[in-house]
Amino acid sequence: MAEAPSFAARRILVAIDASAASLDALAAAAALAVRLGSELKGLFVEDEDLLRLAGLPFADIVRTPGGERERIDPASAEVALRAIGARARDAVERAAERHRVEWSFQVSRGRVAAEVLAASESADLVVLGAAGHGRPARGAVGETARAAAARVRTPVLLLARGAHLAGEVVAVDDGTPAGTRAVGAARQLAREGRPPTVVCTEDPAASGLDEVVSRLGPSLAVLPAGDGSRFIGAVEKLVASGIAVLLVR
Amino acid sequence: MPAAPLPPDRLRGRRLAAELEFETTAELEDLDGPIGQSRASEALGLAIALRHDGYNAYVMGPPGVGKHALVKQTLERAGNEAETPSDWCYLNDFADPRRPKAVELPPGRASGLRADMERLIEELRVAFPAAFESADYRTRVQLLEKEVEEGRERAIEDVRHAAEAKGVALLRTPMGLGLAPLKDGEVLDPEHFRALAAEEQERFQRDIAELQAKLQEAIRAMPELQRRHRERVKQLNREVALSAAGHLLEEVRRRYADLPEVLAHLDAVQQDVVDNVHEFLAGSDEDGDAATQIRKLLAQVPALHRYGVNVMIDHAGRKGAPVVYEDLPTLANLVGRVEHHAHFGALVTDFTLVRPGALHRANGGYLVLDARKLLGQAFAWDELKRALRAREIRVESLEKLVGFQGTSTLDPRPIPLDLKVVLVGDRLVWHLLSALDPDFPQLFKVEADFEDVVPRSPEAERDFARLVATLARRAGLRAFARGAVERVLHEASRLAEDSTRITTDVGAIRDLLQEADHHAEQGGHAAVSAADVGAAVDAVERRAGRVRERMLEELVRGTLVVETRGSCVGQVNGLSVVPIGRRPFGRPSRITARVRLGRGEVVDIEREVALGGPVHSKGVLILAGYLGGRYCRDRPLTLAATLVFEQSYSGVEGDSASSAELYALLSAIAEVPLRQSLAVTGSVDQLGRIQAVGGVNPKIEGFFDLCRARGLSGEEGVLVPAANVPHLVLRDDVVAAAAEGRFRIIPFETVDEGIELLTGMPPGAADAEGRFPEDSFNGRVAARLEAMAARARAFAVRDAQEPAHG
Repeated sequence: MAEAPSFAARRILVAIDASAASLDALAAAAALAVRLGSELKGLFVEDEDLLRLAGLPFADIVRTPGGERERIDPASAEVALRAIGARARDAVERAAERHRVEWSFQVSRGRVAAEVLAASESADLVVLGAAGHGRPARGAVGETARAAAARVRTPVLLLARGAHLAGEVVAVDDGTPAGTRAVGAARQLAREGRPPTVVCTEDPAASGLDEVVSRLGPSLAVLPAGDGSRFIGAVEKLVASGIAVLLVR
Repeated sequence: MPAAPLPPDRLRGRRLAAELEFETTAELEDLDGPIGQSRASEALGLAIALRHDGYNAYVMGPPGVGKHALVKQTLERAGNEAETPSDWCYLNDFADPRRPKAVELPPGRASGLRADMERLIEELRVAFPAAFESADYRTRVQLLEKEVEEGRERAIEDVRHAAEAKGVALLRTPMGLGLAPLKDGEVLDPEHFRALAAEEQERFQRDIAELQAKLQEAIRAMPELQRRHRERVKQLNREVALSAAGHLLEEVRRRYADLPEVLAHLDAVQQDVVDNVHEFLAGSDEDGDAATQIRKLLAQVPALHRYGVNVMIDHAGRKGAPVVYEDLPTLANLVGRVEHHAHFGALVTDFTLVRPGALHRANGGYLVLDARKLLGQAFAWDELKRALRAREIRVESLEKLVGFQGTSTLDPRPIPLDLKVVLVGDRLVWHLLSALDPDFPQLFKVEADFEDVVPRSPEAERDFARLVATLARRAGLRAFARGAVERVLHEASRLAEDSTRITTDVGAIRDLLQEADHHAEQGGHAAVSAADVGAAVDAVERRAGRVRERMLEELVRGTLVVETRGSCVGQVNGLSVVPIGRRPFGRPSRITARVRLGRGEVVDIEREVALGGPVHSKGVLILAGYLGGRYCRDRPLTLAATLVFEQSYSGVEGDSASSAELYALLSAIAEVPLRQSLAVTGSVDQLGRIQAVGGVNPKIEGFFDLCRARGLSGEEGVLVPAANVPHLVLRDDVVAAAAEGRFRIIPFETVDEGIELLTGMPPGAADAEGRFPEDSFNGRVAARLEAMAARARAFAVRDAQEPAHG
């Protein structure tokens, strides 16, 4: 068997929108930045959909968890986005300083998925909360994460709320070069003295794979990235059970 | 015939009974208890025997009579035969932690329960984390969480579905959830929206309003969803906790199956443990950052403590009822206290900080307290009474009693009280309590009154010898020879001021024995001799004798005038006692009287200048009664007399000099001189009978010391009331002088007997008409009074014949 290539990421992009899942993603990204000696790049996208909604004459927001309705207008939406952007920046700054890593922060405006895809061009790894704000999709993985999982060319790390990277690591090897890279990344990210468990399969989207991985009880699963709803379904199950999923291409 | 001096053998107590044979006290057995205190002993026995309310005892008597020793001995004996009382402990009341539960346990089992509960908690601390870290438990929790998560998502999902169907997007924004119209999968911006046909705009608005209502409904249902989830997790936790704790608790339950109260408590513990299982899962001390550690510390203090057992009293190893003596009866030492400890700057407490007091320790037995110490402590007496009345021990802090409460505190449930309290004190306190405290007679119905003295019978002498033996042995002294015991007995009678009695002041006897032993040691004697005892007594006299010696010196030098030779009209030697410290001494004083024509009053100069006490004044007034009744029954007493204690500057009290004053007065009236070599003591009644007085021994010895200092001629002596003869326990030197005929102690019963001794004249008895022989002393008194009456009449006639000039 060929030696697995090492996993490197000079710049880690973390998209944050101040949701709890995105803050967990930030923590994981900062920890990874330390491990890999990377620069942390924070990204906050001012959601165009929200601004469009705010411009409508009947724009109402239903608050959670109270359920009250509240009218919004473009001005108040702008103020709110700026405030959230500032919070996101603070969070990135604090995390970077705590872990003593290089950092930068960027705010862009547009559709979130598109902006993340665009920003990922200049990154080596994208870290995302599995479901944050934006347009919710069915299941545990949000629209942005789905889009990233399917279309980003760099490795993508998805974390549900509460997930972390401190425990066991499982790698899935489907015999492709991506599978080999997945094993390499898993080795690098595993804790010292605790080598990753490698699950060999021809089809990472095969039903039952998620169960096999879940049963091993890892905190991180490294998979060769695939596409198609079956594959996304498998990833979704892993994410939903609290496992961080790193998709390697 | 004048009264004769007393023979020497009547001047001191008799010798030790001949049948009491021993060489030294080493041969004698210990005395079991004090001498002659059967009255007090019986009273104590009654207090012990009667279990009814209020039969507590007050043991009273002077210091040193062995009150504490008798009380201790009697109570310990009774305690040994009594049942061992129950143990008591405080347990947390989970329903009301401010009011800990008092639980009774059979003797010796409280500490066992404490140990069992401590072990149980230790085991639970291991068992719970094991159960809650098991894969089985985790899976069940994850399932529940997944269910609730899915429920939440489903609710939003349904709205999203409905929205999608109507071409509306559900947006999750940082501000909440929004619904926006879609066109070609994109959210419409306002411009495009306005470009839509009016009907379509309206449709969107209507649909969105409907969807918003749905969304609101879904969101508002979420807290309920969450609550149900929490309930289910809680229920799961309870199940897991019960299965982990059940068998451990069952083991403890089996051990206390006979004690329903403990079983009920264990049920409550089980309930609480299961409800608060998270407290056992706090993790190890190394876990977490500083903030977590502090949170843990803050949480821990009250947490697992509350399953503990606070033992108030455990009688393990005891057989019988306790006898407790509380030397410092403060409120807290009596009823216990609730302690606090500082926890992050605040004073906090819980039921484990309730501390027992003497009442807890003595419950079921006997508590001995010093009355004066008890009364000197704030609130102690009141709380003791309250406890006895209510028959319960309530732990009350001082600050609570005075209504000053600065910190959170407890109100522990009272413990039933069943004990006998024995107060030990002096008679004054007993009298004051009886007079001033209406509760006292109700609560202390038995008084055990110790005798100050006991009659000197052969049995008492034998007991006394055994007492000397016992005290000597206990104090590690030499044995006392028979003669030494006799000498100690003599001192014991002197302390009792009665040759037929012995003092019960064991403390004073013990002191004398210790000092005599010291002299024996210095003399190199194997056993303490009579001479050693005598030396000890002399040493005491010398130590205490500075004032006495100075006074004697001034008498001898003539600064204080007391004549002991020759005769003098209207002047007699009276005797008084100077009560200084523990060794009062006698002092002779010159009493003088002057008479003149007057209206029948005898003026007490001491009273006029407020130097005489009421009893002294009473004695002087009796003299006027005597004079009138004896000499002037059918005519007015027309004299005015003045009486005074010469050179007395510090007050006179008592009537023991009233006979001496009478002699001075009669001498002044009859103008017959009195012998100054004799001193007189004794009070007199209106009929002329001489009555007993106190302090007769020091009085005689005081006059003897003065006469001896001036040289004894054989004329000197003291007239003492015949009723005082049994009280004579005189010093050896006085008895020796009497034996040699150099000093006389003469008993007298009537005024006339004294007249003859003091004047050498026959007193003269009245005939049927009340007239005395002319050449008798009384005849001269009567004649002088009659002459004065005649003069008075002559003055009265002259005053009547000379009309007053206006």
